[in-house]
Amino acid sequence: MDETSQYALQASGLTFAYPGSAPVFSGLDLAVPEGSVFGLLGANGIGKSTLMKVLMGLLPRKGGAVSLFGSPIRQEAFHQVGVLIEGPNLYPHLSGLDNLMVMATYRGVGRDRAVEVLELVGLEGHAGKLARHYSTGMKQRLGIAMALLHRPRLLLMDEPANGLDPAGIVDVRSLFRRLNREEGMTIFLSSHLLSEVEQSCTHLGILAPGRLAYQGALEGARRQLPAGVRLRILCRPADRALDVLRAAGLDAGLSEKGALQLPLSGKKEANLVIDLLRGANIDIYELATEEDSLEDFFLSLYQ
Amino acid sequence: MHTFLSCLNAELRKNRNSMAVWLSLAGTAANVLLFLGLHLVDGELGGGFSAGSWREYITNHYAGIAFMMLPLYVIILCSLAFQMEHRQEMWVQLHTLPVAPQQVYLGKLAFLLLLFVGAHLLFILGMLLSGLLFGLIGPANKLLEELPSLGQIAGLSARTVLSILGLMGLHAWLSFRFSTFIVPLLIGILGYVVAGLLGAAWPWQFLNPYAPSFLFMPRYEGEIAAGQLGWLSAAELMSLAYLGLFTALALRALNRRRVG
Repeated sequence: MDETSQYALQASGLTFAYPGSAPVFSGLDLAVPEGSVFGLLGANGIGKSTLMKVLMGLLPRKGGAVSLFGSPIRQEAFHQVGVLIEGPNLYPHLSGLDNLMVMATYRGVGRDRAVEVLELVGLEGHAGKLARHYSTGMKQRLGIAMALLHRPRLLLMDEPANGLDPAGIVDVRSLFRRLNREEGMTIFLSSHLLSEVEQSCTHLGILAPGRLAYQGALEGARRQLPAGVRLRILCRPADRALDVLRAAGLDAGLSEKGALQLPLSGKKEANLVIDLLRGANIDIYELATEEDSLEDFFLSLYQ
Repeated sequence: MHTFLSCLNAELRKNRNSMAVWLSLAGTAANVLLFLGLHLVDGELGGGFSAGSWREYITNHYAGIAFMMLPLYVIILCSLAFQMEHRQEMWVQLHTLPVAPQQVYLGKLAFLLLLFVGAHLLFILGMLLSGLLFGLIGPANKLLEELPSLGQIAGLSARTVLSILGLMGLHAWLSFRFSTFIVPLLIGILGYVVAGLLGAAWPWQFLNPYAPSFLFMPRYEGEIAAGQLGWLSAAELMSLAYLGLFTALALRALNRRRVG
């Protein structure tokens, strides 16, 4: 392993297709910086799990290369990687602790660590309960515990919030932050929820059909958002209001719902709009400012 | 070696409370009770097994299990052991271990063999205990007057284990290749029926991986002559060869799945 590599996980020219089908992605490049929390965002069915499987060698790539901490990925590299893909994968006839002990035995990890990770994911009170009797959220937590068992340097989590209740999502999010901050663990997670990625991640990758449309720091994505705000006004009569604003040189338009919309260079410009409309005896019922969000950025990449 | 032992140990852990273990325990107990029952009804109802000595009593037991129970047990056992991984898609976890997938497979195969041997030892214990009970209930036999031949038991046990190795290798491979429970089971039943239809006297039967388990009893009882290489019969040699062949096929398939 190249300990000096700045990337925990790197893929170049990655191509994959299911037999007899068009490529799911082609020539894809990905770089997950070491020490980052990297969120892979994409719509349902876009190929996030497939990409993760190809990265981990669970599906055979048609082309390209994958490296882990600077070295080509090999079976032995899984000492450094914890994986939860399309999971959790559990033995239902075994208890939570026994499930962990099976994987601990394969990995040469002791019972103490198995107990410790159960506590880490908040399942210490359910260690002896059969996995088949676990709720969906508990199974997900156990899957995460399984991936953490051997203190990996890279944690690969496919939709880790699946099946978790709101409190569980917050718990897991803070666990990931803690592992990232205190143990320097690199976390690569996929999600179809933008809010989840925004709150958890330092870096973002947006998977569009067949390609990675964006990758980089989350702040970088925010910087690509257009500056300024939009003003939305409900007023009567709307058509006369439109004429007034356009006559004043403002780029106003009407939405499908009959609301006036116009971009502002800053929130203070709203005063000018109000003065113009009130000066023309136009009644204002509602007025709101809207900022472009990452959601708009995400949607713009899909268009 | 250490990795292989870890894999075997993991198999032992994951099979706590598993269907494969319960099948082995329940199947062994059911067989022992069934054969005791068949010996008991013989005197009164007929149609059962008659045994006046330990030699007959033991031979009856082995003839009974070898005919159908053993092949079916091995076929179901292999299916259950691999279904455990297929049903929950545990291969995702197993392939992301820092352990060669071939080692995981060999660990599972070793566990299956251990479970078979363990169940067989329980069967022997049950057979001896039931023999004592049979001796007590039916004083016409001589089971309380003589000791069972350990040599006979050891010989029959060794041949039993040898004869199922090929079938175990074949069905471990089939159960690994097919993710459904039913396909290897149907192939197994078909193989068993074909072997039965061809009969023990068919000269090429020793080549059939489903045949050895019910070839060795007729040979033991001198009903058929079979090729021999030292202590091993041709069918037993083929059983060993099939174990090697099908294990090699599985390991080759797993090698393609190995990462890196």
